[in-house]
Amino acid sequence: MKLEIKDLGKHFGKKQVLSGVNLTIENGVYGLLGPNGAGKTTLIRMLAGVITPDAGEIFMNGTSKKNCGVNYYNKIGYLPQDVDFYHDFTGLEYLRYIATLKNIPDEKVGDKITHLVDQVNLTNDIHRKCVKYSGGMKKRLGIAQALLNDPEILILDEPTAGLDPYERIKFRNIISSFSKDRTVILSTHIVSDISNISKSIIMVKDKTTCPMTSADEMITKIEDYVWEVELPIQQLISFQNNHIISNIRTVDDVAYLRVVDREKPAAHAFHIDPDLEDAYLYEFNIK
Amino acid sequence: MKLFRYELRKLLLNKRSIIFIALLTLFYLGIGIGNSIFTFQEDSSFSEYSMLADKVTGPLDETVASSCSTNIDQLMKIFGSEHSVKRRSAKDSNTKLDFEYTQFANRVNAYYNGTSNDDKEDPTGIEPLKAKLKELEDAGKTDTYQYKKLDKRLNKMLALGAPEFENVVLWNTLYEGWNGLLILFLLFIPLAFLISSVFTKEVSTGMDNLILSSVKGRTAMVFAKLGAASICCVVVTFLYFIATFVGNFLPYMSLKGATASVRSLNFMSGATFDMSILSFALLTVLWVLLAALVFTAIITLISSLLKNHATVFGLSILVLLLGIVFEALGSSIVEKVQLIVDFCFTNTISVSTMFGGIASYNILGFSVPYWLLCIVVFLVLAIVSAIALIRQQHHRTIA
Repeated sequence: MKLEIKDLGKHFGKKQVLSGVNLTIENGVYGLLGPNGAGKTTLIRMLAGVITPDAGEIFMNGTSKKNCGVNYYNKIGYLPQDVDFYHDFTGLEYLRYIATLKNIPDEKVGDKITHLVDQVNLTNDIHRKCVKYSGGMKKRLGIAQALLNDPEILILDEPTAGLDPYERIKFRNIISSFSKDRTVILSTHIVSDISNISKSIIMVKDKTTCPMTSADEMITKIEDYVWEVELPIQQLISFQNNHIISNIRTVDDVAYLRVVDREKPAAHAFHIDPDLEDAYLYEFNIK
Repeated sequence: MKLFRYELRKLLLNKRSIIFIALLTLFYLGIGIGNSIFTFQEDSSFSEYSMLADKVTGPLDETVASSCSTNIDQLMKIFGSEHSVKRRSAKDSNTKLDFEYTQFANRVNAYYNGTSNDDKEDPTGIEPLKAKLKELEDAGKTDTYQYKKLDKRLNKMLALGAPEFENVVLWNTLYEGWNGLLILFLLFIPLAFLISSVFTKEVSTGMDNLILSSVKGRTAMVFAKLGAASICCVVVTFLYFIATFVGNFLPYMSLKGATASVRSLNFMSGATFDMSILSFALLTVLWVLLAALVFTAIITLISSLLKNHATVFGLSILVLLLGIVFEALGSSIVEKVQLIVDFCFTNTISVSTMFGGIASYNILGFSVPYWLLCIVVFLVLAIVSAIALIRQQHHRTIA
């Protein structure tokens, strides 16, 4: 499966949200990274076919999305950022409804749902009404519906928001096993989700996408830019206002800061090993 | 078909909607009972009135008419208005008969001599029609649209004959409750409330994201939702008519007058066709159902264009009340938009307006009855709404 995006752009009224987006996506997990309002959800919605681009085109295996018709949607599984459910539907009814929307044959639906419900750990709750589900359960139900049609391209917008650590690990495992011969595009703020499973990272910055990179490349780029600084707590606020700090740890009256900066931030600062969160802060906060 | 069943579930077959419709039905039943229960009060009764009415059923009896008219005139001097006399007549069966027979005599008089409101160029009574036709013949205008229209009208009226007196008092009461304005407020507004959420629900739940990115989300979804909305419309409309009908006749347990001529009804004296009142009641239900289905298509289109249930509901009410809004702006405005006013829901859902008069339109030299042209307008509105809906859903995006 090959997805090519050429010169994609979108504006809402006078506001240009994205322009000149060029990407080639094949099998594997791609992390979409960027701050709030960068255009990640807009890009994802254009890929899912929910928004029409104002410029450019999307090609699936060489065929334009317009010419693919409904076949395009056959190959897509999409989990949006915010989905509520019909309150009087049970989880099972909801999945059957989505299966109908996706035109999945009746004879396959039962087994598929049983398997997916087990995978996302909702077997005991599937007959309860969706209105009684917790946030995490709703998210898991959303993931199950995205996988219903066995999509070749899985598009996930903030999929782990609201999941506890155990559920997040389980989700990552589901995605990893799913992505062997498929494409997964994962938009998230939780950097650890991307670092553990993404083959490539797509950064959305300045209303477009940067050339694809990887977690290792991003970290290598800033290996000399991450510092640890020790400060009295009284100086913390003024220091924070002038530097990018990825972590603060306090012991008694002393603050230990993890600082991202090209220049040495304090005389007694020393280098430490960077991680992907540091790299994210560097890319999106330092010009 | 499966998608249609789910859409029907979302719109109609859920706890909230079922409770709403059940309460609405009880309300309609109450309206029906309340409408008819005061038709006979105190010393009067329907059975007593029926015995009196049966004695004078048939063609106009001048002696009876004169006696009844004298009694009513005396009451008019005491009570001042026809409306007050009518209320008084509910308390005494003889007075009731006097009132109803006098109304009947007026209708027979109108049949032969027309009414004071008639347009001289467009008369309704037998004698004025004959006079007008003679005038046109003398002027050598027998080939004109006006002559053909009036000639056709005269022939129909002669074929129908003069109205006859029948005991249709309960049916008159029924149709007082089935007047256009009441149907507008009691049926169409709740319908607008129920159906407005057909598309906006997907926006409020965020399900639009999933629907629009699915195989059936663009075209099949439109037909499923339109189908579900139509079923909802049919159910509510039938419940309205059944409940008000049952409520109207329940206090008296009698359908007397069902086989009488529709021209016996007070508002149908000018009708140029004949059928039984029961058949006309069925026609009324079908007619209003047709109007309601067209309204449903329009609301569904509006719902697909907007995001918010309340806004769609508000706009639907505006569509409903367009005729009233124009008329409130004054006759000079109405003249400019007369065609729109003629085919607004405020006029088209009224069977008395549609079938009770002589209104027609000159279409390429042919006299086309109001109701027939209305059907054409309904069909055009429904088709345009459906096409616009399909296009809208095809191009729909999340803003």
